[in-house]
Amino acid sequence: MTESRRPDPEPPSPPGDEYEQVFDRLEGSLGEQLPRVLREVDEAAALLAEILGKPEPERRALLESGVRFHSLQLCQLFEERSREAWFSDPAQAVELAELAVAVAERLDEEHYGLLLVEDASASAWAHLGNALRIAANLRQAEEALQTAEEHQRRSGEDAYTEALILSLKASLRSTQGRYDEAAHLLDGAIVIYRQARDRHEEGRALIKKGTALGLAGRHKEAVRLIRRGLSRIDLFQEPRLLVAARHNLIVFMTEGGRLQEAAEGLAETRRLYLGLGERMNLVRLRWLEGKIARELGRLDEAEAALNEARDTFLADGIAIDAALVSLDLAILYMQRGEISALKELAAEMGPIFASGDVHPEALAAVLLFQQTAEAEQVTRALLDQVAARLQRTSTP
Amino acid sequence: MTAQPSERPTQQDLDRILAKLRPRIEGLLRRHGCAPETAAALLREAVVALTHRWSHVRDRERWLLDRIEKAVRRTVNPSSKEPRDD
Repeated sequence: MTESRRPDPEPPSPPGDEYEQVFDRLEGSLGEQLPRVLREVDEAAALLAEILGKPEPERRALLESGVRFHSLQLCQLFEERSREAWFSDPAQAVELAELAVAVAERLDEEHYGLLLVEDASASAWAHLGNALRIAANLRQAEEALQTAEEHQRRSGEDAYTEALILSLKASLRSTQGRYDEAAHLLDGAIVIYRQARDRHEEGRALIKKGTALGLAGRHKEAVRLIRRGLSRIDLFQEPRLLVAARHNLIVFMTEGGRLQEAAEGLAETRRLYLGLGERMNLVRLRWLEGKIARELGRLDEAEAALNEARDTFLADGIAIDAALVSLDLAILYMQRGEISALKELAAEMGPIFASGDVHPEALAAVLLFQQTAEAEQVTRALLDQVAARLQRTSTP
Repeated sequence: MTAQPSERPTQQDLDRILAKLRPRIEGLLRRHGCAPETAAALLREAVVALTHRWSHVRDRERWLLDRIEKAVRRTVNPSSKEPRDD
């Protein structure tokens, strides 16, 4: 027999009108504070422009000198700008996130309240951690994310900040090749977004988890999760996320040997790439066309597409992607038995990395490929391994 | 991703949300036995936080309730999240 559960007894409560007084008091204090907060939101863009209008070395000093810059909204704008630079300029992403941290650490606790200030610090440090990861500074990235977690523990009221930290820590674990941990962290973010009824962010986290598992070679699960994520995201809000997710889906289908599905998926997605019209996405489309054509045995078509993609990445100085396409070309040359072309390709990869600030993991992977190519010992498994190591260094 | 002009609520937006959630917030404060004198400060901080989070949060009412509940829990039972050292 089951015992019926009785509702918890109501705690001794103050008379109802005491809580009415709470709302009266709230109205009074908000009436004083809100106009200032709303003005702060309105003015933040101008403050951002003022700081960014200064040369880089002067920005920090200006920010520290003026109380008017110690604004939560400005902190969030620095984070937003840092996020924008993740993909294009890692060094700038770090600088902008450092400015966000500098602002967060100067926020007035009297004005915002201690918990909100702690929350702002957690978010700013999380952004810095991710920017450092992308800039290949994994040790400092780990430290920054730990600092973010400490601030978040002291605040803990904003579920979105907790989910953000989980998600960015997952990116770090993916970069370190610790894919299962990444997936586990993303499970936490997924639960938070689900509880917050934010289907779009839940979808993004599902796609991210799928991508982590795909990089780990678990293509079937990756495809399932990315599809589930795609069913949740708001297509109109973030078409770039849609294209990126569809791209990854097709990549993992291809790598998982589901070539027919991949080819069909690509045909359906082509208009999205074209609709978005971003040059780099069109180059990635050519890359994907080349990969699928190669797997389908259409080697001349594949070679043309892959060379086109590689040349564009090289011209734009996107070293990691240029190297990844080179590895796809290397697989093609292996299939044809063209060892001299493969060796030539490997030799050309050195200069790709000579000019830039290169992730040591990427450099090590390329060196391994060059050495084995020179020794004529390249295998498909080795190329996949080198590609996986390179891919980890470019996870956004 | 492009920088968007800061989207923020109007005073009326916030008043509307607070009015709608008021019975649930009162119930929550009562359930946790939150002292009225601290409740106003918690609510004020949560509303300011929502103002800054406005453009990022999809279900604002749910987010606000969740935040208030966590703040109330922490205030009523401050050791619930921090590790004890005794």
